[in-house]
Amino acid sequence: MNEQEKVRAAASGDQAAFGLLVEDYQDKVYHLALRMCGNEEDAWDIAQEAFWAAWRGLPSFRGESGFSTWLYRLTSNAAVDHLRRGKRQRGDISLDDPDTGPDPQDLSPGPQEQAESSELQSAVAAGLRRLSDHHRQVLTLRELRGLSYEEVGDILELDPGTVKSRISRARAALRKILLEDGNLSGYLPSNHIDTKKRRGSHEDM
Amino acid sequence: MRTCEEFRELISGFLDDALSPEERVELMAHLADCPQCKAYFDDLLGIHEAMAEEEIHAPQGFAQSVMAGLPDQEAKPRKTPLAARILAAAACFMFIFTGIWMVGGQPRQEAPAMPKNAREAPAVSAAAFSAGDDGEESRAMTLTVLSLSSDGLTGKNEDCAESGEGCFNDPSLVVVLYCEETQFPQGRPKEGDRIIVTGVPAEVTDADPLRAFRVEILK
Repeated sequence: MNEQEKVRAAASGDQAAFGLLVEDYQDKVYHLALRMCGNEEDAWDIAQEAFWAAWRGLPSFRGESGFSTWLYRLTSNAAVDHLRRGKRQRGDISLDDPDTGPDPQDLSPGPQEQAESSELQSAVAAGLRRLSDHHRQVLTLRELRGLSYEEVGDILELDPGTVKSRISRARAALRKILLEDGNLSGYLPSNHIDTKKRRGSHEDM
Repeated sequence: MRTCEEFRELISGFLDDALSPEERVELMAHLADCPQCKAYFDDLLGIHEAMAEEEIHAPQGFAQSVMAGLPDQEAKPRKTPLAARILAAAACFMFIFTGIWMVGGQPRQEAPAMPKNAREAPAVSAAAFSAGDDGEESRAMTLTVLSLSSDGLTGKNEDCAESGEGCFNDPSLVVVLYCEETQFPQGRPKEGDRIIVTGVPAEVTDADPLRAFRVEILK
């Protein structure tokens, strides 16, 4: 059964076919969820919610964007909802503030992550948690799932030009975090950190 | 001449394979001359590769947990047996008769442009009206009137020409409407008028094959 057949069967209520799609996509969706929210417990909930939303919505899924892009959109939506709910519960000030990252308590990698990642990957994962929600969203969709500017824009309802510049800023912000943490020293000439620090205050949008 | 700041946007574009050949050449020339941007490039490349190569697996039991908690699926139009049958019939019908699609009640003898076997597919396919982003039936279709007859009209589906969605991708889709006077609250349209067909019920049944629509003439 190819993907299109699985999607069609699942759309008409075939749970076994949907189970195959879950098998196919669970790693990708969970990975995306993990990097969007920053901890394994929330990632489980977000990924699960994304698959449930897919199951609910499949009968009216019409396939313009492709199943995977649609599923990543649902994952992204679930992550945003989850982060908002978390912030609301904690009484954070603004739900739409692009500069609010997750709680410091979320910053430590889980045991599974530590076991599977290289040093730089762990550093990047930790850095991602400190990015703004907006930056983390575009960067994870682009880098983890390899989506084009158009596809990312489709998912986040942004035009491709905005996606492009936001990804560029997100990369700069992530690099700044890694430099500050001393995780990119091997790549740098010695005077470079100072240069970065001077221009580091307007990274977000 | 670009600033280093601008070149750093190009570096990001380079990683996304989004540069023109000219931009690429320009960037490479700059990197050869500018150690700061070269270092920036190396850093971003390292981050890019670390993210792209990272492999994370869903935890044990995740898929089972998803499947165990599946909610109900949303109701869908094609649960209606007639609608499903009409979809199939309409697809076949269009293939044979190059873009004529039936909309309306039971066809009559003097029906406009009425091929014989179309009588097996007298009502509209719900797909023609599925234009909402989430698959919700928008229940509206814009037509340009091509011809009129005593009991109906033939129109070209503008929505199909624009989007091709829900219309079997046929830009020349022609719709035949079988209409009663009550469906023309503003009087009957003329040739060339643009009309919107609305009020299509969510489910089409054998007992009432799509008679509830109304026609509004666009001024």
